[in-house]
Amino acid sequence: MRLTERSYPRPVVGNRDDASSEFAAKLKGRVDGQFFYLSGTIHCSSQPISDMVRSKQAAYVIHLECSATAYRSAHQQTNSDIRIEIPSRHFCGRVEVNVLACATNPGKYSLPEAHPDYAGTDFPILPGDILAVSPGVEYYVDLQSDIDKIGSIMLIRDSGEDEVPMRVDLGGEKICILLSIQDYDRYRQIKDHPLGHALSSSIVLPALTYAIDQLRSTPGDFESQRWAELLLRRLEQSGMPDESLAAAQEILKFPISRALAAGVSVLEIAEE
Amino acid sequence: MSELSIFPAIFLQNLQSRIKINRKRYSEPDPWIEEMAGGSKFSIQSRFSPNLDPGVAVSSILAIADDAASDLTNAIQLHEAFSGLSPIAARDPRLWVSLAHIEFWRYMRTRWPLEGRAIRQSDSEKAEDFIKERYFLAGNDSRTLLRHGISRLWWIAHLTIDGAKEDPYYYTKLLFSFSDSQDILATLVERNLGRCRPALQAFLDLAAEKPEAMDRQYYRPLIKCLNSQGGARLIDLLPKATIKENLQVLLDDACRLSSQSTS
Repeated sequence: MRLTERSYPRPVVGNRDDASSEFAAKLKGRVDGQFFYLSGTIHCSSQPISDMVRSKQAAYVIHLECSATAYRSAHQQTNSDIRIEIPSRHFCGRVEVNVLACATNPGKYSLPEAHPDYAGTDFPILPGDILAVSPGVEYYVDLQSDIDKIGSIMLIRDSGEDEVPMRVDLGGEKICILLSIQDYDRYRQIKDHPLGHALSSSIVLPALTYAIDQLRSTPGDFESQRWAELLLRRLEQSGMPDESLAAAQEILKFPISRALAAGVSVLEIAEE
Repeated sequence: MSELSIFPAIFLQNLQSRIKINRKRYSEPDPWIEEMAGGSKFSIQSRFSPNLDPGVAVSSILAIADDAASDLTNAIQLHEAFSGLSPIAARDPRLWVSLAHIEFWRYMRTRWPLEGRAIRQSDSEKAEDFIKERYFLAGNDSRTLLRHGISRLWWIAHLTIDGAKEDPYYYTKLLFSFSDSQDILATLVERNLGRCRPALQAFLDLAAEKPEAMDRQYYRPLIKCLNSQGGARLIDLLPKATIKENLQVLLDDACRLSSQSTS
């Protein structure tokens, strides 16, 4: 729902040149398997609107829509900090977020900073009337449909061979990463360490990149493989990048960033 | 009840690309997927188990009928049997396309036959468009979910269910009591405004009290008015009663104008 660049029957802060004051929301959205988290702050430089919100004649509203699941909700608040959590099972793909200020009581409304065309005019307002808008933002919720049987599509195993490079076997139900006897032993030692998850990602990332490459180039070879079914679905429905390495990083939720962050964190603890 | 089987994504992709080749199969009385698959894998087990008594087949959920009269009962029965579905799972094309082609094939052939509706066998493009709309989910918008022969039943119930009511399907029943329920679905439920529960429920509450609101000559302009009000006002913030009052005023005006023009 696009709310800016409209003709409203009153001056609306943030819409075209209706008013010289500003209304903007700085937003951050993220999703995990449980929730979609929206956080941020609202900045409103219009004194009349800020006063109306403070006196509860108006409210800030965070409006969310997901056309793929027919989801629509409006969250009303009078403080400028945004902290919203919505179960992620309501979303699939594009989520549109709009932040507005709306009247909550009937009354009159005038904006000294309004465009001269509105000068000296009081506007009657009713509950729900839009008084300020910030540009809409979109997020992409990329979650696997929870109808699939849960289970990793990858597993790490001991190849039974001495001092050999890592291999990837795509012939089974899961993508099988085969490590040498020595590497597998080291993997088992660190995998539950705070850095272990991050280091494990460095094993999984090249394997997943390779699997995506193979799947895209010869999909017919993997028709009966479960991992291929799940991976293909994620790739096709979630608008993943064409480039396999980029797609793998998105699926693994950016393991390099997480590994580096974990490393810094361990260093900080060590320095203390 | 054991977990439901659904199409693998690759199989679904292939099936959708073969609509033209398979067009004649959509007139067959019995399911043909297994025969068409010719030994290759056409199902995977999902994690979802319908809410059915032991021994009850999924195919028995829907009463087979050739018109909209059975839609209400079928929508409620399907929604109850599939009550554990999340919205993200309920927009999974693998689920609904496989149900339409296998478990509910006979229902689909009766309720949404390829023959009839001015689609003659020789109108191949029209026939293919019909198959895409009713048997597959073409597109990402929720509108496609309300057009597919099976998913529409679940989603209509999902969008109208109200757990706060003694009868949670109260609004579902109201919606289907419109003589032209297909048109009200297209005019209201499929649109952005239909996702706003207070607006949808307010409209249906008004229709329950004022049967004239169920007449197309009135409800279409009412919905248009409500939609245009939503351009400058966030209807989501209004209590249902207020929306209903506003609609009542518009309806009274429309009826008065109509009676003046006929007198």
